Amino acid sequence: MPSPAPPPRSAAYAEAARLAEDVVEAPDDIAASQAFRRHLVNRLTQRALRTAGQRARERSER
Amino acid sequence: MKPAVFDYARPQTLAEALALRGQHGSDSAVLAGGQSLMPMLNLRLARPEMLIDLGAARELAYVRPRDGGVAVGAMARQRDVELAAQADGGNPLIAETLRHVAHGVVRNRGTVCGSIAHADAAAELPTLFTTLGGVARVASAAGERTVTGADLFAFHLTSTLEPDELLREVWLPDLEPGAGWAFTAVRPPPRRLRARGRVRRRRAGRRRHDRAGAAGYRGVAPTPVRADAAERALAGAAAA
Repeated sequence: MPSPAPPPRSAAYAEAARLAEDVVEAPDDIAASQAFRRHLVNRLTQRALRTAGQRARERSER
Repeated sequence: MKPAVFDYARPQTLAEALALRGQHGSDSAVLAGGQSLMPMLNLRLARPEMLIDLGAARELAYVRPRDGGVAVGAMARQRDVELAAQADGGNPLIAETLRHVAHGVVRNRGTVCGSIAHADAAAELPTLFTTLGGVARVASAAGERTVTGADLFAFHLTSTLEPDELLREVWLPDLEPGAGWAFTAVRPPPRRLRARGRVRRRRAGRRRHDRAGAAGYRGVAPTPVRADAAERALAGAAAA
């Protein structure tokens, strides 16, 4: 059974996070590969967007 | 290791500091808290002939609400700014970001302007400044100029300040009403120095929650950076 489509906000967050990966200029080094850094940027961006969105809603409702 | 030999000056006023800076130029370094510069001196990564300590310039130790934001003087300690921002509430991202800077003992000594002028691409405060589009007041004996956001940074550990200038104040804007914010980071294992994270600010209208935003990143490029394409995508999605 196909999974339901994500809500529009989640899709926008995912797209923004994908685009944000391009900020990574650091090359592979002893600490991490560039691919892993791009992965971190993507995941942390989505996490930050969800938190910021939730806080914005809470602020507006006050 | 111990620092190389240097002369030390502790001016009482900004004018005295600027005169010294003008006199010694690139042979001088400005000490404003010392939480970044002192280790560099000890490792001899920095070898100034003259160290100008702003610690006695009391006129630079202030945190003031101004023009819909907060003005932070060169000698305002990070902890003081954190507490002031917490009390003021105009921009919760400032206090949240400062809580990620090292630990309390360092924040008691370190200054916001000192960290920003140090221009570490992996540091929290230069990224906060870039993300918020802060305004830096840069002074020299010849006068003052302002520098906005990312224009303050040229490369890792390299700002766009001239050798005779110093960063006398930064101004950080309040968030708009209804705005959301978040700071997220990957914490390295103990004793590792590298970290990556991002400062995130989003603006939201009173009725819509996805109008526009700003996203800043540290530790991924030679300077703190904003994700312009992601910001445009978010703005577009909110407008649709």
